[in-house]
Amino acid sequence: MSARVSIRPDDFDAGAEIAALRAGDGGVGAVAAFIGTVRNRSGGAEIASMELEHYPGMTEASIEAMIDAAFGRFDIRAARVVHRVGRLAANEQIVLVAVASAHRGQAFQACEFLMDYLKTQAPFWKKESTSAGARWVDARVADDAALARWGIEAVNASMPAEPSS
Amino acid sequence: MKVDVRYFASVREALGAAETVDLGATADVGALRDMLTARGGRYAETLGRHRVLRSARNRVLCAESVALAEGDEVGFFPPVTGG
Amino acid sequence: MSVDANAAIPSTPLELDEAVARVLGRVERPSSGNSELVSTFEALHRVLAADVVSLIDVPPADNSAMDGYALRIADAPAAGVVLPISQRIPAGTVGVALQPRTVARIFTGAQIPQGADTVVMQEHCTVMEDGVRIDASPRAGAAIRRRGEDVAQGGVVLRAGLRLAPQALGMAASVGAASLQVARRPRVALFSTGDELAMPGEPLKPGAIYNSNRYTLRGLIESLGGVCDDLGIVPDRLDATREALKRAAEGNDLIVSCGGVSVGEEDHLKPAVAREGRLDLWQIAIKPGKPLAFGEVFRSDGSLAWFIGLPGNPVSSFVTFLFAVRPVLLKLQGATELAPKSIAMRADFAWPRADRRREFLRVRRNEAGGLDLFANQGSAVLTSTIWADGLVDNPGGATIAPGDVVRYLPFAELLG
Repeated sequence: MSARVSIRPDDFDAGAEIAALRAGDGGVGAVAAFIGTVRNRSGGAEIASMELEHYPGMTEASIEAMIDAAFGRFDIRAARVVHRVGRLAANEQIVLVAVASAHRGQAFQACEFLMDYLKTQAPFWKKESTSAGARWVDARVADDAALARWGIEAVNASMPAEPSS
Repeated sequence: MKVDVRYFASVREALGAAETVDLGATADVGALRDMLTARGGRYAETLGRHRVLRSARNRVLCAESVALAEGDEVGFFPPVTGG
Repeated sequence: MSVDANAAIPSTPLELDEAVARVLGRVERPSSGNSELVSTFEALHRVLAADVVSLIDVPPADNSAMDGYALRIADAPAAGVVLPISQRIPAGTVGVALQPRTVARIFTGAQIPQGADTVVMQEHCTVMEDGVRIDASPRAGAAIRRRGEDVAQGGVVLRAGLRLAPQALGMAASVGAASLQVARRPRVALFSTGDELAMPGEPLKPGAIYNSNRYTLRGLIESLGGVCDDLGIVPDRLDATREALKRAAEGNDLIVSCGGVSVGEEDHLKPAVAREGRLDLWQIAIKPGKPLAFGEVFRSDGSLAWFIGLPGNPVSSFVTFLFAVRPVLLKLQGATELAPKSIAMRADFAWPRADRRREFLRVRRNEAGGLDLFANQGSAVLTSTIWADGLVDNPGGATIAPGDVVRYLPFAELLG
C-alpha cells in the first residue's frame, strides 16, 4: 500500500509533492523531478483536450514494480510517481516522476529510467481531440530504444521478435 | 477453460470493454488471440496479426507464449502511450 | 499469480485524513455538462452547478426606509420650515415628481419621488393646518435605501458549489430565479454481504442478525443527496458477489457495500472487487471503524464506478460513512464544502483511557452548555448513536478531563 504511486484525475502540486518526498529525511541531498504536460499542437492541429485511459489494477502495480526496479539499480532514498487520468486540457500537467537521493547523479538517472520505463510499459493510452476530430496517439518505436539503453528488452511499439505459435 | 478478456483504447472501441471466452483445452495467450481473430469481421481487423498489440495476463505484461489457466484475466491493448 | 493477489494485503494503519484525501483524490468533480435545471421549489439540499446571478437591483429603486415625508433639502434649509403636502405615496405605489416647496407623505418601502433627496421620519415632524413643520434639520440621503444597495443587477447572490438550505431558495426567488442549475444527484448502489443477515419482518434463525446497515446507509445516502439503488443482501459466494458488483456498477456512480472487509473475515467481497476492478484495503487508525476498502469496478463499457467497502459493525459503518463516504457524495455534486465544521465545546465528562487511535465518542449537549458522554462507547449496537446528538473527535493518545475543550461535530451538520 503506497504513497509511492498515485493515479487520479485531479491535478498535482509538484512543489508539495517534492516537499513531502524530502520531509523528515536528512540524508537527501538531491531531488530530480520530471513533469510531463499535454502539448498544445499535434500534427499541425491545435489540441483541444486529451483523454487518458488506463487499466485499473495493472497501472498501479506496474509502476510500483518499476519503482522497485529503480531502487534495485540506483542508490536512491525515495521515489514518487503521480499520473493523471481522464480528461485533460492542453498545457495541463500529466505526470510527475520525482526521485530523492544523496547525490545528483543517481537521482537524475533514476528519474530518467522511470520515465523511459513508464512510457513503454505502463498501461495508459492517450486520445487527442483536435478540431479535426479525436485520434489515439501512436506509440513511438524511439521510446523502445530508450528503454533498451537501460538493458531492458521488453518492446512496446515494435513488432515482436518471434511470431506466435 | 474460461478466461475473462478485457480490451482497452482503440481495441475497446472496436470490440467492447470485456467478455468471457471459453477456450476449450489448454492454450496460451497467442492461441486466444488467434481464436478471437478467427471470428472474422471487427475481431479480425482489430486483433489480426497485422496489428501490433500488447497483452497482459492477470494484469502483468506478458508474451503471447505465456500459458493460460482457468479463471485468468487477459488484456489486449495497443502499445502504451502514457507519461 | 492470480488477479486475486491484487486484493491488497492490509498494511500498517493509515490516518483517517490521509485515507480520505486518497479517496477524494481519485473521485472527479462533475463535469460542466453534468447538471440539470430544476424549479427553485424542487432545489432543497441540491448543490448549485452555476452561480445565481440577480436579474434585478435590490431594491429595484430608491425607496423610503421610514414612514415620513420626502422633500428637497433646498426647501428646508433649517428646522422649523412648514411645507404643504402635495401627494401621498403608500408602499407599492409610484408617486409623481415632487412639486418644489412641498413634501410627499411617504411610507416605508415606497419609491422616492423624482426630485426628492431626503426623507424626514414622521417622529421629527408635526402636522399643522397648512402643512408639515420639519422639526429637525434634514440631512441629504437620510432614510433612503438606494437602488441596488443590497444586490446589484448581475451580481452573484449564490455561488456554484453551495448546498441549498431553505433560506437560499428564498434568496434565489427574491432576485427573480424561478429555476436553478443544480448538480445531478449521484447514483449510489448499496448492498450488504453476509450469510448471517436477515431482514426485519423475517424470523431470526440461530446465529443470524437483522440487517440494520441497509436502513442506516440508505438513509444517509438519501439525506446527502444521493439516489440509492438498493441491491439488498448479496450471498457470500464469489460468483454472486462478482455479479452483484457488475450489476451495481451499471448506471451508478458509486457502489457502497457493508461487511466483508475485516481482516480474516470469510468472505468473497475483496477478491470479487479485485477481479471486477481494483481494490485497496486500508486499516484506518480510528475507533470505531478501522477497515475501509476503496476501489473501482468496471462497467460494461469499460468506464469505472467507484467502490467503497464499509465494516459490518453498525456503529463502525455509521461513523466510517460520515467521514469517508459523505465527502465523496458531496464532491460528486461539486459542493465546495466537503469537510464538516467542528465546534469547540466543553466536555462535562472524563475520558481517562486514551486509545492510540483517533476516537469518535458519542456525546450529547447538556443544559449547562457542555457535553455528556454515552457510557458504553464499545457497543456495536446503535443505541449510542440515537442517544447522542454528535461526536467528539478525540485525537489518538489524548485523555479528556471535565472542563477540557473538545472538538464537537453535530449530527445535524454531518447528516445534511
